[in-house]
Amino acid sequence: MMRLLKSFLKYFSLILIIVTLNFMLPRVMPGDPMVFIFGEEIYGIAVNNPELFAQFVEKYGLNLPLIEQYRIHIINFFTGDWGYSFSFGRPVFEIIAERLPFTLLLTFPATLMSLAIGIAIGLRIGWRPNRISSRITTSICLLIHSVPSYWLSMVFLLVFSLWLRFVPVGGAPRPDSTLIEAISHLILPFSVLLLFNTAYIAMIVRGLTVEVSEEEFIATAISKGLKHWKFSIRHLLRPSLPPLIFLTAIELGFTLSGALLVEIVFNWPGIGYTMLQAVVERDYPLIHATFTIVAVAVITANAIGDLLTGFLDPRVRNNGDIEN
Amino acid sequence: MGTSRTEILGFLLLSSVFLMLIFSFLPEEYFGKKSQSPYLPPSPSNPLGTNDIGEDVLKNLLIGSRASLTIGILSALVATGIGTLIGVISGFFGGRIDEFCRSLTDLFLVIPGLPMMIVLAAYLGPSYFNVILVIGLLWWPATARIVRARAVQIANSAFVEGLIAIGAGRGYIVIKHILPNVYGVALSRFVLTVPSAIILEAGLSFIGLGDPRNPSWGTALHFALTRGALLHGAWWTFIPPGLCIAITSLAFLLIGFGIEKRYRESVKSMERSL
Amino acid sequence: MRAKKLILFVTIFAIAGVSLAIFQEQQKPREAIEIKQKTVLKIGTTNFVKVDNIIKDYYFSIFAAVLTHESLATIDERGNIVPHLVSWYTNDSRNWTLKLIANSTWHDGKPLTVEDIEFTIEYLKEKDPSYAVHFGFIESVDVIDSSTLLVRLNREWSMFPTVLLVPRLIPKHVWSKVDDPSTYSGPDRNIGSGPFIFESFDPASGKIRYIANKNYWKGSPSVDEVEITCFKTTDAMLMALKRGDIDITYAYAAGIDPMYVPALLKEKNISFIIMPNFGVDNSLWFNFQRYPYNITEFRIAISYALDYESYVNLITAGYGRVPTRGWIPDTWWYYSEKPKLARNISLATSILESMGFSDKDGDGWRDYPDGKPFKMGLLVRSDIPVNLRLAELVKRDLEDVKIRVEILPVDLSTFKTLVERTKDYDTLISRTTFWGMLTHAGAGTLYFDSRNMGWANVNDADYHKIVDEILRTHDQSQLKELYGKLQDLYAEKMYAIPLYWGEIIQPYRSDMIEGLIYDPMHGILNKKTLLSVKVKQ
Repeated sequence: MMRLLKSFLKYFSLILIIVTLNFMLPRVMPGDPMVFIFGEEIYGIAVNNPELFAQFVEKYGLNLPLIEQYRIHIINFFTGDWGYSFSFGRPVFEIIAERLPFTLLLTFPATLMSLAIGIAIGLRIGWRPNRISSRITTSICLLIHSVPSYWLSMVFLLVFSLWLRFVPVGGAPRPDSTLIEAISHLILPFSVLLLFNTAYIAMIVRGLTVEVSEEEFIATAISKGLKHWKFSIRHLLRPSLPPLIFLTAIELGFTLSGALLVEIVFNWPGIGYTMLQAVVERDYPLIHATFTIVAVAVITANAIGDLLTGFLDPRVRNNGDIEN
Repeated sequence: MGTSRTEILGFLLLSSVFLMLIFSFLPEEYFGKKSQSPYLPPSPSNPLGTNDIGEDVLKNLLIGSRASLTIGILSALVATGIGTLIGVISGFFGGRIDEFCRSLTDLFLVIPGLPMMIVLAAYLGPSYFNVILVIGLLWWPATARIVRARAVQIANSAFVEGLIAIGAGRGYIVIKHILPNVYGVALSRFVLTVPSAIILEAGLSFIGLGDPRNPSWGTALHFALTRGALLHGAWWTFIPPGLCIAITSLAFLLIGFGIEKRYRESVKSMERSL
Repeated sequence: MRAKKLILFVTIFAIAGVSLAIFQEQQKPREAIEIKQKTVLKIGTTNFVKVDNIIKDYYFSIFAAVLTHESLATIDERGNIVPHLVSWYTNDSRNWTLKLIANSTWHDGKPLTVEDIEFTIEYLKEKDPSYAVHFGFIESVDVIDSSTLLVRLNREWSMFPTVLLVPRLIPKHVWSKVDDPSTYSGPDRNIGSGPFIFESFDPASGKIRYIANKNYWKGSPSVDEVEITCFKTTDAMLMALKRGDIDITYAYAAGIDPMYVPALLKEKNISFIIMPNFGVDNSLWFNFQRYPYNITEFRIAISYALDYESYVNLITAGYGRVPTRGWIPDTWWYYSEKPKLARNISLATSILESMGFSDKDGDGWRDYPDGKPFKMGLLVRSDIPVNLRLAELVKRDLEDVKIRVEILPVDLSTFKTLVERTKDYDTLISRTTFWGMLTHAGAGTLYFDSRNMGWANVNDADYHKIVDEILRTHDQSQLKELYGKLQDLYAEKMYAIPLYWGEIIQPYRSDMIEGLIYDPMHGILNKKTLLSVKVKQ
């Protein structure tokens, strides 16, 4: 119980720090947000009319002292009032509610599927790392790891969309499109994410499996007649489970931001793309909101991973460190 | 325990990349001429064709290696340096300091890396130096954790406890015994961080937050995407840069894993003998 | 275990199956499956609309100005401002009388009256930042009778009619009860008086739908529906054009990047409308109030160092021309002929040498006359790739005359802050728009005059004098003379160097539509087109 409370406190203060960081950073960036409020064609003219300019600075609350803005900011965050986006003119929540599902649509299935496939592959090649098939698989995973995901996205786009005319050039499916059409929009970004996540997880599981299989008790089990890796799931997976779970939790958390670059190449209207747009346009409320969502997702994933690990392995109660 | 085949492959790849770096300093005459029209396909005069403003792609590729490599290596250095420092302090001194360091590590681990880098890069402005700083400041937690675990091991070993018992100074112990022993781990971490750094830098440039005055491979990808290379089918402008990134990352990964493996084995044998 | 293997197989099978299905779908001809009884004009654009509020969203309001709303005046093919809903006259350039000359009605049936006009101006001036700036000189608007209004300005401004181009007229009976127009989302928010009626907007797929207003006072539109799809990149948009998902592409104040033309030329169903640009595509602007850019010889020397032919070849892919020293393109009615710009390295070098800008420390770069190393800062917006590439070429050219250039890429808001607020820059590259050329005193004075947006930051007394005189004059022949004097100044002083005069390239599916009409302000998407375009079935 005490431990739970301490953990909660720790994660809560993390969130607070993120919120503060999110407040400060956009505001210390050079560049005047009024450019976007007046519009790029008008700003230069407006600047020469100080009275008018000041009037609108006040309207948007940008002339209040920083402390005051901060106070309002914290209160608003915890009461769920995340304000209106400067560039969209709509409540920030609405925008995120619109875009988040797109990112999730892409990343959730990819992560889950890559987990299943990745663990399966990782176990297999970790048990017998010196077989030819294992080596080839490991090399392929390594190769995928070295390649930038956005580059592979571009290549996929070139080959499958331009040359083969197989799928449309990115973008999200329209609300009235058929299931087949929807999948055709999805399939390329999904494949890229699947490929990368699987390779990553497979390598980690492989590493863990190799380590565990070198432990003494496995040798004993083998001498007792354990032949195939299938039967040793219980022996292999169990000890590696805690760090694996922890890693997976982090994976899921980072998935949200990890898909960012892929979203850009494919014009996928998700959180990642929105975040970038917000930064470019100095849309403070939107920047704050998108960052916080991602950070909270990651923190939550961490917390869950922590909890699960704690339950599963009483040895490892401290953030999944592998302490011998 | 000699170098394995994979490590040799890694070194081979690495040396070919460094060869690119060296060749990039060749004077203009050795390279293909600038063309008057954009996106010319590969030809005898321009082996990799030309890009959207008529520059020779091969030349740009070689020049890109400078920025990609230096930023990658330097930021990995910064990240590993910070990580090792914090890891050692945390692991050796323990107690409150340890708690503080671990919370710090947690905070940085939890901050979503890429988005934070985007904001920082946008804030600090597109410059070479800033990109190094940004990657270095956000990529150290992984190293810190692993170094810490190792430092704890050594700190708890009978040998070091003995040293403390006879009154050896803390600083002395850290410098003479802890650091040399975490060196192996730190080195493998450094080598393994470089590919991430290179891909991250390329990612930032790809979005347009890199430094266009010091074009890297990522910058080439950025202009390919935004200047219609895809529609032109000008694959020669973006396939080579991506391959270079891949080869360089692979090289470092292979070497890094090799070092890690060797280090682990030597630690194990050391433990057994203790 | 077996279960995991099974999952794997099923997954692969599923992926294979789906892929096959997609492949089948793609191979089918892209003609409509249902027989269309109504004609739809499908437009693709990269002007991304975020919210369907005409006050808040810049691009949505541009579409609104053409489709669903009306302004008081409009532009003809030669760039002249002509009456649309009102005609106007003035005796002193300060008090303007507007006469309502059209019987327009709102989409909900109510008539458009002078009260609506009065309301639009007063309401928007108070509530919206950019309109507040547009209407900045308006002191009062009063209704005189059921077809007349009197607008009083707080100073003489002969260019006042440019303001009449701007407002999208909004109905008083809808908006008088709305406190904050930029967040208003009521069902009547898009009621206008234009040839089309707003139907729907889907933010996720970027599709906007409009249906024809058969009761439009100028005549019923020639298509039943208009559908605009917003694309995030030009690549995606042009792919859609190739596949026939859209009939034409559109971008406000721009065509498509000439880079894409060669790829499209291969398609036999795609034709182009090519029009000369009224704005100046890209110029090198000097900060007139900073040394050494305040010295005329220096600026002239730079103008001889640039390789204009290469800009036309590489940036416009041949769809452009080398500009003249007068800066104003030959599309304008007041154009006066000036010599063409051309590269002359020896002349540039000799001018620089005679000014004392020679290489004193032997490092291969020119230095200040006092010996300190010289570097020219070139500010560029980092979000416009064309500008970055152009800057590279300019740098290359200046390096040929041994001038060291530092390209400073910055994002949009930093750019505007530095250039328009703090005036902290040496030189910059940027383009002008049609509207920008018209406003202030016209002829791009907005961009030169230090008292306004002033990218060239010119506070030259001669220049200010001419500008002020133009602001007072509304006689056409006098204006032509004054603009002629202005161009003489531009050519003599070279406050800014135009880098190329581009063309607006407008691709469209010739097998799917015909009857497009072009106007300088809105391109092919204007009310004239909407009354004449035909969609082939």
